[in-house]
Amino acid sequence: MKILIADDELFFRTFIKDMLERAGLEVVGTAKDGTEAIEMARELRPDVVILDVVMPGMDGLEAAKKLCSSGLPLHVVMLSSVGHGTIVTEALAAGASAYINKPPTEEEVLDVIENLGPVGGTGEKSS
Amino acid sequence: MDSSKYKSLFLQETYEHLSGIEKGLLTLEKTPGEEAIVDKLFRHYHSVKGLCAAMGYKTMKRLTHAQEDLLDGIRQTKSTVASQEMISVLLECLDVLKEMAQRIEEDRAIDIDIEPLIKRLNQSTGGLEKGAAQRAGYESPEKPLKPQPPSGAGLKLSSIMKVEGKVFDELLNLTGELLTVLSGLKALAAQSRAIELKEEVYSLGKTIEALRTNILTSRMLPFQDLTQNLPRIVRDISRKNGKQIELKIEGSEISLDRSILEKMGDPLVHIIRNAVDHGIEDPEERKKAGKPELGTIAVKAVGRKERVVIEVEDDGRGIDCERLRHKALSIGMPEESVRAMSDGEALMLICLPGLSLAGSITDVSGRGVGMDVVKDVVEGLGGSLAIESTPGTGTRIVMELPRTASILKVLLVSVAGEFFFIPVARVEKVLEVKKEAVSGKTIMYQERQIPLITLANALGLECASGERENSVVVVVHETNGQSGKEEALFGLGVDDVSDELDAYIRPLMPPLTKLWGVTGISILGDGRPVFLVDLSQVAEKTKGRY
Repeated sequence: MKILIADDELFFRTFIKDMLERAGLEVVGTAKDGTEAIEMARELRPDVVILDVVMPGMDGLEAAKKLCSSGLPLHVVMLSSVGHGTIVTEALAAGASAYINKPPTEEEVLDVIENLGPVGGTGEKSS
Repeated sequence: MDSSKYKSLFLQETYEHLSGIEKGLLTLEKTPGEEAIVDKLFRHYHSVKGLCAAMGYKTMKRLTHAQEDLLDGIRQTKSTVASQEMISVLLECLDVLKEMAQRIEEDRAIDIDIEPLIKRLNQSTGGLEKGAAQRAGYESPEKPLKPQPPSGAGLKLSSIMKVEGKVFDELLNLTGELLTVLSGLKALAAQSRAIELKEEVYSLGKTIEALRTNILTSRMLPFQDLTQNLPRIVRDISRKNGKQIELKIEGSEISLDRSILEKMGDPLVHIIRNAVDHGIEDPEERKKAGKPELGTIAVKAVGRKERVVIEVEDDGRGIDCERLRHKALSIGMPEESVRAMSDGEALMLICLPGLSLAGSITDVSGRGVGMDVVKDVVEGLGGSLAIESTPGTGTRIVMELPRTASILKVLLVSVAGEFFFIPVARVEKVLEVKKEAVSGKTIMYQERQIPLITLANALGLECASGERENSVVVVVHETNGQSGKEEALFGLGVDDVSDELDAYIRPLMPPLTKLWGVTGISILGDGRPVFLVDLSQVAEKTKGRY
């Protein structure tokens, strides 16, 4: 399972990356904003993109919409703070697969990631 | 649990956000209702809140959350502009957040009572009813995380590292010692025939020199570190005085040695406080004088090779030289000399202790250091201070300072049982002469008479009449010798010359700056403090006798 993390804070990029790597998941990249996330998603072909809602430049919601309609075989997981209910709902409606509350706990992150299921049959289940 | 890693990340990002908040609030105060800034501020608060929540800092999170709510309120009720009162509360909260971050950094408890602030924030938010209503009903779950050790996957930490400042002083000290050892080795190598030894010593010398340059560079901090708090200080004082002031800062990227920058903090604040309190006039007074109501204070740093010039200029009422002269007379300075002073000289009177005009114009100042201390600090750092002022137009204070800390080549001499340093750069020659030869006020050197002064006498030390037959005279240059003219020399009588060293000379700070004849201090390997002789000052003394 290849994962891309987009958050404007180095703190959370590191934090979530550590969690995922501890669980043996592969973090293929970290992005600082929506634009970077989309570029990196095209290039690195992750299975999951974790998107923070609040980012400067292109925010998480816009990035989620673009990624979901891009045709790339991937899951979008929103990283939402309390009070972003409407944004998350909109993202889910646009095709995002799940959301994680911020700050995330290891349990919650792994639970969400592991229950994502295949995307259009291209999930790397063999690995 | 590797919480220290997260803590340093937390602090790094939090400090960035806090300085962004400060900048934003100050801008918002000037241009209330600007949406882009409100948005930016909201994001900063939001991020700090998230960071605090992740680290489990509940109090800090709660305070940030309340501020975020207020900002969100301002954002939602677009018609409402942020009031002065709101900005003041937010700035107060910011101070508390800074204090909290500081405590976290120092591993101290964050036991600060935030309830009064929360109450005021909530009142402000309540005032923005619409916004408050929209945000009702959010429950914030506290989920402090328990980070576990990373799996060893390549974690990229920031390449910037926090190191306690004194480590750099110690590094510089040690480099000084290395240089001293090196010169010993060089002397040995010079006597030796072993070519390998010579080569090794040569390459060791190159490495030590590179090390020294690196350490000097690592000690440099941008002028901005000193000026970043100025907008806030100016805002706070000018609000209290009912003045309108714009602060302009230029050259914040110029870097200076941290020891110099650190010591310039209080003087700079004092000068600016003076400018706000006494320089810039009230808006009405400015209007009457045909000036814009908004006063300007400009702080500027300009790098000039090894030196830096820091200027503080205001467009206020200027310094009244007549008033200074009166004040000088009133404290008992002889009338003749006061009358004989040019305006420029009279301006410098402000640097005499007890001669500040502070009390005579308004009563607000008088806190912290006076201009006398400012001058002492600047000169103690090896710099100089100049004041220019035009009544009715403004005042400019120019401080010229060295940029780097100095490792000086010095000669260790003993005088009346004490050690002193003489800068090697100023030494022309060391002579051993018959005792009788040093009894006069001059001595023959290269077929001419040069003034002679006994260092012990000059410094007011008891002259121990040595038993030795010969005396040692160090022939030194009177000035730094960059004038290009034939340089004046004079002889300095000392008891003995013991060694040539590389020493990290620290500037003297008040009250030590009052000491006559010395200009810096260094600590010897065995812990003994040694003063650096101020040759220019000693030279003045020879002129008096000549």
